[in-house]
Amino acid sequence: MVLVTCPICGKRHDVSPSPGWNFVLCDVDHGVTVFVDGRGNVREVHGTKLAERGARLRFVPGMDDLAPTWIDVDRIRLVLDGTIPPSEEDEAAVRVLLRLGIVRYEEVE
Amino acid sequence: MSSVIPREALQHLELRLQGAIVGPLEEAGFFEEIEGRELSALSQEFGDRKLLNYLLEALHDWGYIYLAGTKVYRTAKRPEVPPVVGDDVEDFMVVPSKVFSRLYEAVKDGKRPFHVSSPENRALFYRFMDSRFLKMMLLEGLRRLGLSSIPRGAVVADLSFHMGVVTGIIAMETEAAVVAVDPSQDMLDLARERLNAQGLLRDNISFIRSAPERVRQAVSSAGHSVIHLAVVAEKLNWIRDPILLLKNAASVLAPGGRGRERGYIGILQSVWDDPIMRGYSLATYLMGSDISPRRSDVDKWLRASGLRYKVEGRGPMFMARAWR
Repeated sequence: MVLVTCPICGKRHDVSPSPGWNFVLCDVDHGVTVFVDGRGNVREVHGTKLAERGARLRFVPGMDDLAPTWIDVDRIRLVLDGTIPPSEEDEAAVRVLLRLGIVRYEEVE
Repeated sequence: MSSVIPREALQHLELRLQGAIVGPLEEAGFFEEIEGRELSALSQEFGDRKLLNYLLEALHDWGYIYLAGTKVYRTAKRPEVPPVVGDDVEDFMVVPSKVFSRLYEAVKDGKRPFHVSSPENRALFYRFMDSRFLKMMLLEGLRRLGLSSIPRGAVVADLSFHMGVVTGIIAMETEAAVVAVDPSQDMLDLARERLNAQGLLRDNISFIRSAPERVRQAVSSAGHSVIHLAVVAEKLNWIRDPILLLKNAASVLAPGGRGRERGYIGILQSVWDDPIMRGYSLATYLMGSDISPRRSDVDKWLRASGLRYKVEGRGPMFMARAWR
């Protein structure tokens, strides 16, 4: 595990060093999105707001039909929009979607 | 034991798969290209000869082409649209419809654009393995192979894995300890997240980074010395040396005697001989597997591994229990 600091509130989190995008929930309205390279080095750390304005995680257009059948895509959309607070299972589902490239981190002005 | 998958659904699935294969080939002009041609000449012109040969065999057996001597001709048959198709069949067809849209390109150029080794294709393969129909087939097969009867104190090794889809089924069906084995840490993490998201993660499930052939070391890493069930589901067409996998799995099986059940390998495998599994096999080939083995190949591998085995089912997947 690697220790990362949330850019939004400063809380520290242990994150899996497995390659690709990882997501860990920090508080009810935000989390930390981390990109780990093939050698296990943390390359990017972003504070990710789960709110209507400034949302950072988005479904990739055209990929949502590939979401695993056990994931409630409509519910995850509401989570990413900040409409409902995520449960622990939602958080894990978001991490699965990130790893599969169905949800991605997006910079929003 | 009767199947939980209605026969009608399997027939519809076969028709939908045939349509998904033949339609794009027609659009690409494949049938005009092969019309009246010698088989030997075709094999020189297509980039993936293996895929071409299996594809022609499937098209022949489904009745879309025929051979006159060594020349190929199109029949009058066109894909039949099943009258009513259930949701599960449509759910299954999401991925084959995508990958078969580029079947001509794959067979002509010898490239597999949907190969799972590319990160962008991960979601596609995951969605395929995660389809309700396939999970039903896996679940039914694993139940027939005795998965649900494995007691809490036993150890099940998942040598199939498939991005954790098989591990999830095992975790749902038994409270036994589970050792999930895969060479990719990324895939193991994905599987852990899957089980977490489904509320199936528990302390006696271990995710071990290892080639499945190194099953002894993997099981040992998880703190176990023997396994009571080694699950080999849809794996024999994904590994280079099926005999090595079976031999090594057999070497870690719990010995029987004195009231103890002996360990066994549960094999669940699509075989090319089954007409329904041909379209499925071509789809998985386009995503990176080998073509599903013939039933005689599986028999040969089991014998060469020095295993005794009992066939538990033949369709649509081959199912067997094997032991030392």
